[in-house]
Amino acid sequence: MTPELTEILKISLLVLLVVAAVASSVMKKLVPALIVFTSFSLVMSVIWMLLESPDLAITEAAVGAGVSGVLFYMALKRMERIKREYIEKDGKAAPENDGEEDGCDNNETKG
Amino acid sequence: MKLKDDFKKWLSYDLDLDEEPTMPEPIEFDDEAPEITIWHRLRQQGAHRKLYYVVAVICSAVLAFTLILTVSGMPRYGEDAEFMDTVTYEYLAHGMEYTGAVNIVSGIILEYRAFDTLGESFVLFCAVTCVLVLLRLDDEADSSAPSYHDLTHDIVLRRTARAIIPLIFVFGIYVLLNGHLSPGGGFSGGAVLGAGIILLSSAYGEEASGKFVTERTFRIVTTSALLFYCVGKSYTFYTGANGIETFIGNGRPGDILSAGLILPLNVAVGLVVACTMYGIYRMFKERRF
Amino acid sequence: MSFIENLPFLSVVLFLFAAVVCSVLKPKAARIFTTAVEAVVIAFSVATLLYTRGTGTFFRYNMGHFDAPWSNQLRAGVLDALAAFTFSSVLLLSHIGGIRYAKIDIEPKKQNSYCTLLNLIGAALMALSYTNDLFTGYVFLEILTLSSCGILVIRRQGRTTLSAARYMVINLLGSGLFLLGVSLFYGTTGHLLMEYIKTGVETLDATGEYQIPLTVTIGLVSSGLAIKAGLFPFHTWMPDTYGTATPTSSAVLSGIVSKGYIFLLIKIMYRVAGTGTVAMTAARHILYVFGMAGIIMGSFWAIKSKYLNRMIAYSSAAQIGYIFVGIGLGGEAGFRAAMFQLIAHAFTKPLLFLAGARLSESSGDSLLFSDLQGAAHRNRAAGAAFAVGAFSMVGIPTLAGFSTKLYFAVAAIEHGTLVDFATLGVLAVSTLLNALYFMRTVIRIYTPSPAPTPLPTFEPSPDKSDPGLVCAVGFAAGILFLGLFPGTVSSLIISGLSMFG
Repeated sequence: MTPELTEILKISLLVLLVVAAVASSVMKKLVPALIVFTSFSLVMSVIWMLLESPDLAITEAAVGAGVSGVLFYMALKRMERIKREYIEKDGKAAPENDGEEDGCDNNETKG
Repeated sequence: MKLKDDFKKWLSYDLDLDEEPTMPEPIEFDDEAPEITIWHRLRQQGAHRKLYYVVAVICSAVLAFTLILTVSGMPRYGEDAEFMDTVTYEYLAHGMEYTGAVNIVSGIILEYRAFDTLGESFVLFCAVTCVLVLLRLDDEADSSAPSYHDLTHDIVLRRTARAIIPLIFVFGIYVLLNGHLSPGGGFSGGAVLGAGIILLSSAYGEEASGKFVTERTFRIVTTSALLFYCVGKSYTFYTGANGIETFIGNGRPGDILSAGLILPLNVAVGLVVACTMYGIYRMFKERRF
Repeated sequence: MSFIENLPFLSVVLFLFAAVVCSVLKPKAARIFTTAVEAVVIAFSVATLLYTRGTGTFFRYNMGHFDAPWSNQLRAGVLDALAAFTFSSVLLLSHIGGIRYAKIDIEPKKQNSYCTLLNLIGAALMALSYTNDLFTGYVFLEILTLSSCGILVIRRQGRTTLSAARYMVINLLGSGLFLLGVSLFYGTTGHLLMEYIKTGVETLDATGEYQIPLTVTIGLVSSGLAIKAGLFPFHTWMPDTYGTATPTSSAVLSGIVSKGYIFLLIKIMYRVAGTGTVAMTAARHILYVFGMAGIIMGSFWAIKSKYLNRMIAYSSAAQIGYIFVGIGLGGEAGFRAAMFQLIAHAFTKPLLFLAGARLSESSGDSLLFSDLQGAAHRNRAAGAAFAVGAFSMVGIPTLAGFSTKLYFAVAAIEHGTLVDFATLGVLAVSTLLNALYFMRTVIRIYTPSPAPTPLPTFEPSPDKSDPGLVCAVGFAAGILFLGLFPGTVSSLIISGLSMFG
């Protein structure tokens, strides 16, 4: 890659980083905000590669985009800030069930 | 005089100066409303919170501007700055020879500055202890927490996991063991391994991951890894400071069994990191192992 | 090289080792082991103190087989050893003084985790006392932050978790600013060992290059550590946190954790930035102004409180303000006053919290002043201990507080400008305010109450071994020593400061 193209890539990644950071702070719905946060980590990992630090890139990808996103999701689920979404089956409303989660377990037949 | 009366009343604890600590009222979240950002929510709240948000944004902007101003005057990335790089030149010139590691970053974090890495491992240990303290349910009867939906029947997750998990484990072990020869090391490899165990646990359920990581395993692995790091590095620090020769040699750079204690320490750190990640995940998911 | 030079390193590693081991021991074994380790570390600190005082100079300890600028280093002088001794002895006394309440507040299976966290706090404080490297300071600062949040949340009560969350957020802000400062220091000078950074900073200060980065860096580091220690506008977490935690945790947090951050700040001022540089002087002036505001506002809010714990917490905010005023005054006299106040407060505040807990236990477990009337007659030892602590805070002669205020006055007079009058004025007003709310409390607890003795609301554990008396005697002895023989400690501090830079 030519040096100018690398420069353009770096600048666009940095802009994307700032946009992702601001967006994950002000978004209202939490699951999309979480996904944007994960993409922030992913962009950061690519930037570490462009800055020639592969150790940091591996760690950032594993920790930021992997484990950190999952743990955030678990925490939000535990605080019940992410509500369940029921998939209606045959036009019937989903039952008010306190232990079940997203209606995935009745999808055996669609598997 | 009113002041004298007030003072006498205050002295005998009869004056109520209205200092009662209150819990804050919970904010009502209206998740069904169609707006995208929180600016719309702000409009509903009082002037107090609006002022708070405005001041917060101004402070962050000032801090960001100050930091940009600060680094704009410093040398650019990759530029040669003799004044600032004496330590770096030394590491690059003699790192491989003194530590035996081809990956100089591993040499720095586990030989030159091993005390900091010891501290960082203990930071992980402290974090998992705090999470255990907060979340672990010791009382079997107190399980009012919502139990998580069991995704083990989700066919997409199972099929994908079956293909990917072996690759993740092999890659993680490779990164861990080759820390002194190629990029990676204890923290990276441990994080990858931890992510792999988390994926195994969420795809195949507790029975599958419980086969090789239980609470007992967690305790034994964490404790022995940290103790090994403490004792091993104390030996090195003690002999180094007192000028005694150590018997741990550096080997030939490039061999898998070289670089002194770096390989065992990478393994120890990696195990601590993997167990920490998995432990925190289990605590969040089910509040017990 | 004598064996004593290994002791600073052994103090840190012993605490780390004990932390790991305690996580797998049974509660009683963990407690005994922790107490034993704390006692051993106190002995190490005393030995280091006597050794450095004897040789009259500091020594360095290289971690590893490498020479100075490329590896970690510990450094011990008189002041470092004195701080280590203060931290470890207050940790031991607070731990044994609050065991009675820890057994009740904490679930049985988590009590060994509590000992783990206390050991981690001990390790972090020892490392902060002896470190000669900026990044090591940051790593152990992280350990200190996390474990202090841990010892707060271990008590399962709604209000405790909320206040711990607030504490965590403010502390993380401080940590973040400090880390930015550390990375900028590394970026501008290329070193992480403190003395080498100082050479770099002095060179840059002389040539005038990188003026803005240096100022911003020093500002970030100072404000980060001041926020963590609880300087004036950032002290709002104090009343909730100290008021709802188990007594050992309040004692440890108010006594030594805040002081650890301040000690690191003093160390950075002497060894990294140099007290004479332009940026550092400006930072000190700002800390001085906030310290003065903290003294007045802290006392004002303490007067308004209805609960004993919250009153003691607000008075803590005022006393931290004193230390920052001492730092702001600068010069040898100013720093001596600040260090003296650091040690005196570390011995006094935990005593107040632990005695207050026993007084409230004997008053039906209530912390309202209206219920505490006559509590000293129900529990004579606690009443006497609380009185000693309160008199020391006010500044009665022969106790620690009086020597502190004397040294502050001496430091203030050295300036001879408007600063001199302002400081003396604020000292006088704050002594009056302290007397108001502390003497009111002492009178209250000694006034016999017409109501019958209320029963405690919890069952004290049948294990009759309550080492609270030992703890109270230990703290009182420390306060009396600082009050009756201030010259000894002062000369130690002065000789320590001269070899600190």
